[in-house]
Amino acid sequence: MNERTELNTSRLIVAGSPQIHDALSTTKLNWLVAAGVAPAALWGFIQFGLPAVTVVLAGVGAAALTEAVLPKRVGSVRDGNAILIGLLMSLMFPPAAPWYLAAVSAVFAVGIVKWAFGGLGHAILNPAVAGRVLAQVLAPQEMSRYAIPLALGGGEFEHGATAVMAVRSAAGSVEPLQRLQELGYPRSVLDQAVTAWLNEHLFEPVGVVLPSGYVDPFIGLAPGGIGETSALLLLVASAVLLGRRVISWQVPLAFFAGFAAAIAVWGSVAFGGVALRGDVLFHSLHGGVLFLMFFCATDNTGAPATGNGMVLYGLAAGVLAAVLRLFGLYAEGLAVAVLVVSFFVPLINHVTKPARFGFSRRRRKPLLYKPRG
Amino acid sequence: MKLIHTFLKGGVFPPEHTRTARDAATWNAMIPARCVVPLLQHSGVPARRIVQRGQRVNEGAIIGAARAYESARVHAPIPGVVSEIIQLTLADGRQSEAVVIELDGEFQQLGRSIKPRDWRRLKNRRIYEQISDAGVVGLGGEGVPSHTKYVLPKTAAVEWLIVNGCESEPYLSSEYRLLRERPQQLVEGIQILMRLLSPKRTVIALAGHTRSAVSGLRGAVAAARSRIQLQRLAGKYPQGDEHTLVGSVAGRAVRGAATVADAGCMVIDVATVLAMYEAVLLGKPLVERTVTVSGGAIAQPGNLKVRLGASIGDLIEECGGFCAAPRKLVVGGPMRGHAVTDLTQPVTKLTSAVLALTEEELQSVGQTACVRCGRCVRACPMGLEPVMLHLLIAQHDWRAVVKAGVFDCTECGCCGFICPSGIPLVDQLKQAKSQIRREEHEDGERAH
Repeated sequence: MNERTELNTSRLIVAGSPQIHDALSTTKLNWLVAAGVAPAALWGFIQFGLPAVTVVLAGVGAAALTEAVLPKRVGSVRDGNAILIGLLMSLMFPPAAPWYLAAVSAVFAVGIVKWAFGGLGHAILNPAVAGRVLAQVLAPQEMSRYAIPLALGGGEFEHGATAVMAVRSAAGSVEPLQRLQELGYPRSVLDQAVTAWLNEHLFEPVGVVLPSGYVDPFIGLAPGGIGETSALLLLVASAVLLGRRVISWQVPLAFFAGFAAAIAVWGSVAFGGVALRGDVLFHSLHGGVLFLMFFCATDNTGAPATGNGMVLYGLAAGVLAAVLRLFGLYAEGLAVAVLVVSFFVPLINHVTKPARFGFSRRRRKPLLYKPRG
Repeated sequence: MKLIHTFLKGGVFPPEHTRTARDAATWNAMIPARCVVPLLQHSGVPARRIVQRGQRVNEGAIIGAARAYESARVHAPIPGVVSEIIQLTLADGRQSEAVVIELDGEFQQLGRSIKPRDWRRLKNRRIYEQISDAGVVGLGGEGVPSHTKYVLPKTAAVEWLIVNGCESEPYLSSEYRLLRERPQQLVEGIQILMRLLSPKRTVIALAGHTRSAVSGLRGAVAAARSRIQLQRLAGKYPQGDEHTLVGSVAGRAVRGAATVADAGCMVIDVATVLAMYEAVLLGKPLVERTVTVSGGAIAQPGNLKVRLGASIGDLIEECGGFCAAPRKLVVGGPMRGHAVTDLTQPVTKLTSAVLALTEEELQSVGQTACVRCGRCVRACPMGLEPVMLHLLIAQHDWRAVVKAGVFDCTECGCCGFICPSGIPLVDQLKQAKSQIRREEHEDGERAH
C-alpha cells in the first residue's frame, strides 16, 4: 500500500448510522435566532438611546448569570439558550423600563420557567414570553410607558405611549390611522414622502390610495418595544431564518392567518365600527406582532412537535393575540396569548398525532396490508 | 411534463455530493491478487462452505452452497487456491466465515464474449434456477436472495413492478451510471421479470439526479417496444426505500413492518436487474458489482466495477488514495452505512459504496438534551414519533415502544440526521428492537 492510503485509525470515528448530520445543532439554532434579532436590537438602540441599551444588557446579563450560577442540569451558557431568552425578553420591553425590572424578569425566566422545570428542553412555557408577562404584572405602569424614537423628537406621547395604546385609549374616528392623526401622533417626513411616492408610482395606476402612516412602523419609526418596532428588519431576518429552516414556517403563517382574520372581523368593532372592517395592516405593523410570531411563538420547546399541531397552535395564538389586543386589559399584552396556548401543547400534540404510514388516520389501524408472519 | 411525484410525509434533504463521481464512466477495478469472500453476503442463512484449504478453484466456481431456501450461493470471484479459511466481522457487525483465495491460474470468463442465450425460449422455472444458481441477491438493500423475493405465492398477483432507479442514498451514483451505460440490458432484464411476474404496470422510477438519465432509457424502451413507463420523482431522501417508493409511484401506503409485496408491488433496483440479466442470458454468477467510491477525502471519486472479495483499501488506492485525512470510513451510504476502521474489509454483494468522509462533511454535533423541537416527528417518513420512542425507550417500557410502532421503523436515518441535539435515535431504535426480540424469545423459551 502506498502512503496515500495510509490511515490514522485512531482518528477515525465509529458510530451508528446515519453517518452524516444536518448542519443545524441546538446551539447553532439558538445563536442563529439571536443573530436574527440582532439588527432589530441595534435599530432599537439607535432609536431609543442609552435606556434601551441598559435594559437589554440587564436582561441578557441576568439571564446568562442565572444559567451560569444555577447547578447544571442540562445545557450551559455556551449553548446560547439563556442568552437568547434574555435577549428576546428584553427586546419586548419598553425602552424606558427600569433596568432592574428586566433583570428580575430574566432571573424568573431562566431560573423558574426554564431551570426549575428541568432545564433546556423541559420548559412548559416560553421563558422569554413568561418573563415579559411577569414584568407586565409586576409593574404595569412602568411597562406601559413607551418612548417616542429620538428621530421623531423623543419624549413620550400624551395619549398612552404606542400607536395601539393611543388608539385604544382615546375617542375619535373609527379608522385607527385617522384617529392617530386627530390625536396629533408624531409622523415622520419620510413617511409622507414615501407614501406619496408609492401612491404616485404604484397604487394610483391600480386605483388604490395608501393612507400615510404605514411607512413609519414598517421602517421602524414608531414607539414600541426595543426590538419590535421595525417590521422591515424583522421580516428580512425571519426570511433568512425560514430559508435556513431555523424557524418553522407553519407557526408564523398560521399565527398570522389567525391574527389577521380576527383583526379583520373585530378590528373595527373595538373602535365603534362595524364587523369585518378591521385594519389588518395597521395591527400587523404595530405593537410587536411580527416579533412575537416569528421569534417567540416558533420556540423549539414551546411549539408542538407535529406540523398540523403547529398550524393549530399558531392559529389559536394568533386569534387570541388579536382578541387580547382589541379587548384585553393591556393593549401591548398580546404575549400572553402565546403563554395561554402553550398550556394546550401536550393536548395539541396528542390530537394531531401523525397518521402512521400505512395506517388509516381515524381508526389508527393498518390499512389493507398486514405484515407477514 | 408530468408533475413530479413524491412521498408526502417526512423525508430530509441531505446534500447529494454526487457531482464528481457521477460524471466519470464506470471503470473496471484491477483484479485483486487476493480475495476474501465471506459466506454471508445476503440476508438470511449463511452459505455452506464446500471448499477446503489448499483446494484449487476456477473463476466462478461455487465455494458456498445455499444452505436453505433463504440463502444464496457464493462463487469464487477469481481463479486460484484457497489459502485460508477465516472468521470475519463484516462491516454490518455480523460474523461470517470467509474463504481467502490467492490468485492463480487462468480466467475462463474474463475478457471472453459470451453469446447471449435467448431467454424467451426458457421456461420460468429454468429462469428462477439460473437466478438462484448465480447467487443473485438484492444489491441495493439488505441483500434478500432474489429467487425468494421475486417469486409469487399462487394466489397473489403483482400489480406494480417498480424498478428502483433512484439512488438509495446521497453520495451514491452507481445506479445513475448503470442507467446511463446499460439501458438496453436493463430493459431486457426488466422484460424477463415482466414475464416472470406479469405485472399490470411496470415503471422505472427515477429521482433526483438520476432523472437526467431519462432520455437514454426512453430510447431503449422504445427500441424494445416495451410498455415500461418512466416516472420521475423528487430528490428527497429516502425516495429509494421500498415503502416510500411504493407510496410515491403506486400511491399505496404499506406500513413499515409489512412487505410491499403484500400490497401487490414488487420493487427491484437497477443493479439487481442487471445481475439477473447476466445470470439468465450469460449464465454469469454474481462475482462483481459496481461500487461508488466517494467522499471528501477521496482523491478521485468514481464508480468502480469490482470483484467481490477485493479489499476496500484496494478500491481507495485505485481512486487515488486519500487527499485529506478522513474522519469516518463508511461501507455503504452515509444514511444507513456502517463506519469501519479497517481497510482490509472485503467488498461483498451488499457493498454499495465506500466513503471516506472528512470532518466538514460529517457536520457532527455533540449530543445534548432533547429540546422537543419535533423535527424528528416531521422528518419520519413512516409517521412515527421518534421523540416519543426516545422517551419510552429510556423508561424501558417495551410494551409502549411496540405500540408506538418501533417495528415500523425502516432505519432510514432521517430522525438521527435532522436531530439538532445529536441524539443517536436510530441506534436507540435498533437496540430497542433487538432487546424486545430477545425478551420475546426468552419468554417463549420459558413457556416451553
